[in-house]
Amino acid sequence: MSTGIINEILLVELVIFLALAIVLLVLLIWWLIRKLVLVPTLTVTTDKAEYLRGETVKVSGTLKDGTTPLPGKTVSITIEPPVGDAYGLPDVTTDSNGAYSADWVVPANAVGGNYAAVASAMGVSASKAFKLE
Amino acid sequence: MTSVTLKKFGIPALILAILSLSTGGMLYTTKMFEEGQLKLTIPSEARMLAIGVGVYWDITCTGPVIKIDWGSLSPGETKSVIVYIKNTGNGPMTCSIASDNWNPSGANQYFDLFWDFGSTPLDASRVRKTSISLHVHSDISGITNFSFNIIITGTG
Repeated sequence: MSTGIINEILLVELVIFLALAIVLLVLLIWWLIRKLVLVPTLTVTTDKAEYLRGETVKVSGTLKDGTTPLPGKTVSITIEPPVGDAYGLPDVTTDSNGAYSADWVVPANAVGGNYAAVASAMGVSASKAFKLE
Repeated sequence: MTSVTLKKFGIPALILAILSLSTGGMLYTTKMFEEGQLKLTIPSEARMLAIGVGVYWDITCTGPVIKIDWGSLSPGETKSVIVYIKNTGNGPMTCSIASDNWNPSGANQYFDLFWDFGSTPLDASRVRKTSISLHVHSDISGITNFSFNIIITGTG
């Protein structure tokens, strides 16, 4: 085999090696970013769309990083009425599935109208509207 | 932050603009002549001290208010910020607002601090959306920047 052909083969091998190295480097950087930068997603919902005074509003949701649950994180929940002061619920902690839940008993003197259950965790917020007759 | 406009102000305004921009507009009082009037913009901040209640930036009470950056203020201007006051105690509370530790001392004579919390008691665990405002007197002079403490006290 001539020296020229050998050099060409070595060159092709070098190009393939460099291409693979670049792909591996990009994958490594992507993995590191995913590990270091959390992108939490918070959901919140209520068990019903409408309530009466004295009923219990069951607020629940999940906190995840993509599809990965974020357990042991504090979730703050507030019930925002149409007018007047909001109701602060005790903080709750996400379980191993990233799920959380809290109950709020609608006070007898609560004003009627459109409410919102607002949840916050790790700097992100979510809300779910519901109605009080 | 920087409120200098170059319209009609020529080279002196350009120099002030560059100076102000180079410091983020925070370190210097920016002066300019606007239709014959001397306009001042005053960098400022207020530290927040809460007693018996929590003061937060958000309705879910996750971001405590440590300080309020009023930005640059002009004579006669009123600036407002929205905060959320939470009763962290076990019973109804009335709340009051006050200020102290003005720097420079005596600066308080040129400012009015007020809020719209009202006199209705805040029940336990309730959260009230409140506007805190700072008004600068139009006759302010000799103040290039200032700071002070805001004290919000809940009394049960």
